[in-house]
Amino acid sequence: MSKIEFLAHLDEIMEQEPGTLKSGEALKDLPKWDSMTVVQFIAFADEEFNLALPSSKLLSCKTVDDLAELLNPHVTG
Amino acid sequence: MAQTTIGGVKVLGIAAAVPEKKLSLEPYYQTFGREEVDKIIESTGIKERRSDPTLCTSDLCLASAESLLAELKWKRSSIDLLIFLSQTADYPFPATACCLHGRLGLDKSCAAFDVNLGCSGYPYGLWMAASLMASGGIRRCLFLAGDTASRDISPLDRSTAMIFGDAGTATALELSPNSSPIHFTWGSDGTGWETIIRRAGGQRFSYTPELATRTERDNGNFRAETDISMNGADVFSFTIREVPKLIVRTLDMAGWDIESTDTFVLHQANKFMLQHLAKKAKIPPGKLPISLAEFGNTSSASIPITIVRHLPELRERSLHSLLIGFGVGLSWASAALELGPLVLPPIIEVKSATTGSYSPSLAA
Repeated sequence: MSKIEFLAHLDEIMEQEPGTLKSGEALKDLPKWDSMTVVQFIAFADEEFNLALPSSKLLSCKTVDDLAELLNPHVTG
Repeated sequence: MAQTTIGGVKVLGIAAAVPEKKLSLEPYYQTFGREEVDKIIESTGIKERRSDPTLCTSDLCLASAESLLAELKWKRSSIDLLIFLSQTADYPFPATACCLHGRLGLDKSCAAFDVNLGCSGYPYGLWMAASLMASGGIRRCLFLAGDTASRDISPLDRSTAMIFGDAGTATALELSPNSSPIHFTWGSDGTGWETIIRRAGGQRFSYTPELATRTERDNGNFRAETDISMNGADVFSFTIREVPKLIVRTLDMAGWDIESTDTFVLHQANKFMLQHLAKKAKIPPGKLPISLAEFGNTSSASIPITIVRHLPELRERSLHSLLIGFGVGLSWASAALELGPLVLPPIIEVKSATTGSYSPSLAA
């Protein structure tokens, strides 16, 4: 999955238009990044890549790029 | 994960009781805002729960047990084992099973003990009951399971406030040499002990007024140490890690597959989680009964209450049933069994405890 596709998935989780999120955005600036979207992100990682991410890993992420890094090598670019 | 198969034990009936009092989610509009509450309802599938602070789990289990005994026409003296599985006991001690043994008027030769488990508890309890029965000395068992978790949540904590409902169930088991075997699988991961916890009130952190005071925590949630705390993301992550494997291992052991299994009764955690698990395990929606809308997450009662509410055909015939519990502990277990035909009384609604009903008092 490309980084652009990944960001579009993240947009979908946050119920916003694909293309809204840009590389480099800080998660603390995203009001929709809350406990429910965290769970939806874990579900997405499981469904797409069969990964069961613990919440501690997600909470240590500062930017959307850190989230993409968690899915390495599945998200590239 | 460990497994065993036990033969010669049959489940004869299941009953479930809930408080008559309903608790809708509308009052939370004021606390958390309409948009957020509606989003939570959509995700969890929970519209209302049953909750009554005057009722203990034991009261609900007692009502279930009485109804089941009446329909089965069992003599009380014929019951050799009483198991009460719950995390909301009447007292730190004695065992609530002993209190219920007295209230039910059971014989002095009947064994009675408590088991402290929650969401994984129903298949765990069936396994314990079946194992003890197969080991000899016990012909009939009454297995009670349930919780009144709604009494231990903070209404100002969005991670728990709109999830838990109260219920108490009773399951009757009997030795029956020609019955088909029951396949059990179980496991635990104690490194996750803090994932779902009610921290204060035991001996590690004894009750103090300070520990019962609600203070602000993560994301503007308020709770006390005497309230239930749940890390929903970690529960989800644990579930997707362990439950699909649990389903596969149990089916393999029973020699069944998705197609030959008639029903998958999963612990009713929340709709989002159940649907995700079903999709991952390729369980068709028609084989996945869901009782969340009416009763919410009722902990160890969620599997039996779902059976009583959504599988009435079990009164007439048997179903290849896979029962899957998972959660607090962390702990998980399953049972694959040919369930039915069963005595299955309709769900009992219990009125608030009033003066004149069973009301133990503090010592003078």
